[in-house]
Amino acid sequence: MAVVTVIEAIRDAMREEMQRDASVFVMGEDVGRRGGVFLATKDLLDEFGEQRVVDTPLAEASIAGIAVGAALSGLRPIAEVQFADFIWPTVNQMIGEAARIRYGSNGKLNVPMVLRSPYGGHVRGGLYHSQSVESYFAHTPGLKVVAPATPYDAKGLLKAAIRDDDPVIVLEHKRTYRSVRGETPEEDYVVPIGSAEVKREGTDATVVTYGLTLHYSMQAAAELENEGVSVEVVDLRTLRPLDTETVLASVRKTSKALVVHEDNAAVSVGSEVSALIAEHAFEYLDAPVMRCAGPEIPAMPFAPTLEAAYMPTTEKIAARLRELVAY
Amino acid sequence: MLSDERDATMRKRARDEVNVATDAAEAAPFPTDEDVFRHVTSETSGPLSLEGRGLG
Repeated sequence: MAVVTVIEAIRDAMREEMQRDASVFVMGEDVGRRGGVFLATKDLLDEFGEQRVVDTPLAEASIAGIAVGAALSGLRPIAEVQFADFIWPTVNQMIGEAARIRYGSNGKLNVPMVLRSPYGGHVRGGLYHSQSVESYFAHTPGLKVVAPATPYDAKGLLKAAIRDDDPVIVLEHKRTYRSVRGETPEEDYVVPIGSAEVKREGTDATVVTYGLTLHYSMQAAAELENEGVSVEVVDLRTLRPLDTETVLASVRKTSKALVVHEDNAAVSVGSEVSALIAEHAFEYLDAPVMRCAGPEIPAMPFAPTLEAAYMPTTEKIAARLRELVAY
Repeated sequence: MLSDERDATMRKRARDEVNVATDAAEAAPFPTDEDVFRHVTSETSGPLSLEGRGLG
């Protein structure tokens, strides 16, 4: 086992898949000579050349559109959007086209592409470098959306996404890139898309979360353990398709659920998880499903005090858990 | 260079392809309600029941 950061795991995944399959290539702004704004594609140009590591103009709509076309032509592009805040020009290609091509062609065509993008806050990035965009894409049938939080999951899910025959949005929380380290196997592996994981077992309450807030939730669960409360933490890992069975099995066991994410709460992944629990595990609940999420404001504030007010933190999650357990 | 003759040939070929596809589509039976869930992703290439999706 090698101990790597999340960004190193992502780089390893792309390198290994490009070595394995000649149809895989990467494209995006500064992915070549610069090695990517976060160095996710560092040294890939030297190893694979300009035909497979393609620097593009600053034009996200074109990046996505070219990737869709390449995928329809039999290649497996990995397109990078430097920050999820700049992903909006790709929406027409990803939601308007890529998500619908298999369905619209009655299964005759498919779009095996990956769109990678760093998202999320707690990095002092302000309005245009901190956004959470997952709900817009996770709402869309025909797309798959993953949001890993650890090096193991980042590498395994990205490899699964590259091998998948459908368009996959891979959202990487930028705060985890260098702050989270973990083991990844030397041998080839994938993490199946659509599989959540119980990251911590418990009996008194379930936290359902993903991305950066997984780590804050784990810390909160550890705090609660010192108070005699046993908290189970479920990492969704994939936001579409949701692993409903893992979520429901946990909630049926603990009878209390807290949904945690950084995105604002309304019409979010948390909304869907809460609805699923209400629909399919209502009779098991001993308390209403609670949420701990970003506030209803349109973007991450720039001022450090306001960013701190925005972010779900270990302290906020622990406070909500105490409220839930005491219900 | 694109001559009038070559242009006409290409247009006729395209028109014939569209006509054949249109005739085939119009002659095909209507899909069933269950087919609405086919081909959303690679995992849904077969029909799934409405009940299976919680919509029955």
